[in-house]
Amino acid sequence: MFGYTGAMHKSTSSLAVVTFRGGVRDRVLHAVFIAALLLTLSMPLFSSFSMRDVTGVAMTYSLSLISGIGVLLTVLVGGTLIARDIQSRTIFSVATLPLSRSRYLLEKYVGFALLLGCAVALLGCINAAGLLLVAAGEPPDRPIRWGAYLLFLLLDYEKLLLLTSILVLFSSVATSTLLPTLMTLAVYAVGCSTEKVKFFVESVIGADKVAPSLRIFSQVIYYLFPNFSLFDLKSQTIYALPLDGKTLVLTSCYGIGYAAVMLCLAGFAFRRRDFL
Amino acid sequence: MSRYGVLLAGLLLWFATLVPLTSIRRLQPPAERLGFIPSPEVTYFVSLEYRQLVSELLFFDTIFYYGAIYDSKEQQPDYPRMYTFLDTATRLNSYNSDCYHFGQAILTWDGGMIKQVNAMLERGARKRTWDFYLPFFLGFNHAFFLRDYEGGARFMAEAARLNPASPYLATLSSRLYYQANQTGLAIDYLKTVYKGTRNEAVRRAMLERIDALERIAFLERAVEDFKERHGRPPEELADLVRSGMLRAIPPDPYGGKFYIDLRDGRIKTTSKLANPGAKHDGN
Repeated sequence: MFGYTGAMHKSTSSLAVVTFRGGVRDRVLHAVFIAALLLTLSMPLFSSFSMRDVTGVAMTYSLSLISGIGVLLTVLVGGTLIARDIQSRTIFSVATLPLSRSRYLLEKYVGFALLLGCAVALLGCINAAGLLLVAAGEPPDRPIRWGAYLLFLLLDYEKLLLLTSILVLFSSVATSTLLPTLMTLAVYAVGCSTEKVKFFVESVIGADKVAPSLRIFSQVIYYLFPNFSLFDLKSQTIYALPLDGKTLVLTSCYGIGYAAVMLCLAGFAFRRRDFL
Repeated sequence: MSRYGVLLAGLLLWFATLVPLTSIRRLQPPAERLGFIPSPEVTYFVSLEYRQLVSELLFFDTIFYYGAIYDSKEQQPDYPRMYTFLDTATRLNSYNSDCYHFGQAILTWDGGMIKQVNAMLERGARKRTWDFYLPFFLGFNHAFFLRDYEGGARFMAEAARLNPASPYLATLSSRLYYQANQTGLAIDYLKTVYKGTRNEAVRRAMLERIDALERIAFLERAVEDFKERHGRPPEELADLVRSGMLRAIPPDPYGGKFYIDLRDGRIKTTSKLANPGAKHDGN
């Protein structure tokens, strides 16, 4: 599906487009999207259980849905990005192309990033329509801040790009589809908690409860693993809380830097990999 | 066995087991029915980036549980466990206003957990700095349940500052400083909260309480009239009927019986203004 054999006589830059098109035809993507659509349709029912903040609950549901579906798409569809080429042995054709292995990885990454971008935009539009409907029926205490909603989508997308770069790194060294997927999920889980753990062990209660060695370990993990909490703007979007421009810019740069390092490492590993 | 036979046997097993299982689950002890959750710290760490969603789900668990128990005559709600759920939900997401409204509506009146709910509300008020409801609830709890009129007035003044459009809030603060009529205060409070509440079980609980308080207010007015006419308070409510002022004593919607507490002269009820099993004396 993500193979590029049909396109290998075309210019190398079309590999990203081929990856994107292959991704659009992927059945897993369709299944995840149908599930997402059904879940979005259940938004009015979910929010109707609220005692008074119906739009807030609808927004909580919708933003969590976008984040969750995005992560699912990344690990399920992105997990096959490189592994399928290796398993179907189309990877051998790389040698015949005027294309370095690093470039191959980058093209794959860009193609999948395009796919994710479209998926996030589509999910964002569908959920925005649902939110508009709910807010029309039950006007919230504070109006929905669509600018914050857009920023949430952008940072969530960047989080997915960062996760994909980690997936590409694992895929460049692993031979199966499952292993990179599981390892990426593990990094995602750690990355969502690492900031909470760091702040906890640095707190007064944490200092009492946690051994010094564990405190150092948590610090190492914090700086080594990606900090996905930075990309989470749910509270700010749902409750119309103020956003700090400086933090947003720094977060954005942090994500780009981390993803660049992961892709470089993936390139190094992939160049040294023996496919025979 | 043909495939249709297997299909039929499967369907039979499916429904024949589900019906008794539903009955068994319905009769589960309240604690098991609401379920168990890990400590707030563990829940916080494992909820990843979905803590707002997990917070909502914990709240939904609590209201579904309460809604199912509310009409049940066999079981009483497990208020401490409901509080644990709401407390964890608000620790996961301090902005979750539903938890504060539900906790205030049920756990204070029926659960008698005034101090715990106040602690939860104060935590929420520090985050929801635009929401007048939380200082409004705190003000009411201090004045009505804790008899701390000064504390109540302080919170009501904060609520009035956050909602300057409400004439009721603006005057309530000063009323509290003068220890205004308790029953009238409670009725006005409940009517204000009732307007902003959507959950049907909680609305019904509020209407029932408003109804009971209005009957108390009616009896209080009759007692005042009796004092004016006879120059002394009635010894018991039956005196109001015997003197011809009332045809009968209205029944308590909670199933209790209204009486005059001779220690403070106030009208109270044996139901303590709550459904059977409740812990707090809301009079």
